[in-house]
Amino acid sequence: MRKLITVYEAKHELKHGSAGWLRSIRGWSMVAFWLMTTWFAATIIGDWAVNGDLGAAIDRGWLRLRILLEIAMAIMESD
Amino acid sequence: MDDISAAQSELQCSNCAGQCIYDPAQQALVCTSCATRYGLETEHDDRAAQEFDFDPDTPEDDSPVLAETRVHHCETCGGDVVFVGQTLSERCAYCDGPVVLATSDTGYQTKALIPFRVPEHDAQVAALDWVAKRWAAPSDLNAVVAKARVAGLYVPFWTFDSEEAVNYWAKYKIRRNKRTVVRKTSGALRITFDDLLVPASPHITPLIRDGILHDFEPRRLRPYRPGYLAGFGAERHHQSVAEGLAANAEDKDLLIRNRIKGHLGKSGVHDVRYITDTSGVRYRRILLPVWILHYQYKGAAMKVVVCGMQGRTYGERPFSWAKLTGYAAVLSGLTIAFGLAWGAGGLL
Ligand SMILES: [Zn+2]
Ligand SMILES: [Zn+2]
Repeated sequence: MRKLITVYEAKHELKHGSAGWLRSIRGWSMVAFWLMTTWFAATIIGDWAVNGDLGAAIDRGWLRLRILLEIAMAIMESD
Repeated sequence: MDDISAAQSELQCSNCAGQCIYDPAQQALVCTSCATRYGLETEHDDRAAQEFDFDPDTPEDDSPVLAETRVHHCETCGGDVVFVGQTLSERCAYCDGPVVLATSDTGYQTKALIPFRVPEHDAQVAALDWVAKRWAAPSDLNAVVAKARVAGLYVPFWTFDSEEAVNYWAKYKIRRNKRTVVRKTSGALRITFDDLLVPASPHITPLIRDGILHDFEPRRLRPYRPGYLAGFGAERHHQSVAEGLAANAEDKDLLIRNRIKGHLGKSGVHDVRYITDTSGVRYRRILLPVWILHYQYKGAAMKVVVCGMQGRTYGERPFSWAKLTGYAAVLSGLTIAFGLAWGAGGLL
């Protein structure tokens, strides 16, 4: 959360492209990873709650996980 | 600040013999007793933006000079602050540390400065506004900061120009049939740095510089005159050119690496190595005006800095852990609710 605010402030107040700006926005991907992990866990639980079968819910989650990992890779590379 | 008596005569009102101080709003020396205005313009004002060549192979001919001045040496931030026609105090106005008084100081001659344009009142308002707009700040922060006052300081800065001929080697990733393959690459580019501002003072960190100094206008530089400093503190230059360049090495490295990534224009760039041939180094030793508001929060010394030229503000601030946790909980709650709904809805 603190990283999120630091990144937000850097984007609005630091000179774009300056050394301080580059240092402040470095590591913003941690915020995205954390949100994606939380979201993924919740989708499994949501599926499980509705269908009552944890194993099946995890099986259905695999595809979702693959897509998330793709996104995560792209984010990591652009950070 | 190099000659107390010369400074004193410049600061004495010829109308009533009162003391003059520099007024940012009027851009002139103004008598504190009879309000007579004295312009500080000279016909050489346009020469102040001149840059000096630096050759690393020849010794610097510019040597530090000992000057008779009233100097505060701050034991906390290490700063040496010179005052022209101003009362002295026992605390450093810029970090609140204890100060020791000296009567002389060895430093480099400053040839140019940009005078204050932002008056004290506006700076105080800007500093308080900046603090009021912080997210997740402790609730009592505004009240703590409101008790503090801004103090005006001329801070020593370098401006550096250079030409960089960069040769680089790097690795990057590409996607090939659902597999990630690492490729090697190399290239060359030229980078021209123009007027990189480097703080030569413990009072300004590179981060604060990037917060308050977005535009630098060399045409606003004026030849050094004690009159501009009347009513403000000033720090003298203590670094040799080589020391100034060394202080900027880390930032320069970061900027060059960022340019290389931009030059490659590929994703997944890593293991960047480079060599650069630096030429055409030119520098200026200047003073830039800032207002510093120093405050203490739960024993930690923090400061908010307002640029004395345009009023841009940046600084240090504490976070409220309770509020951070609260925001994080709300954000997690939304993410979890969205995830649950997604899973329950049987999407993908
Ligand atoms: Zn007067
Ligand atoms: Zn200090």
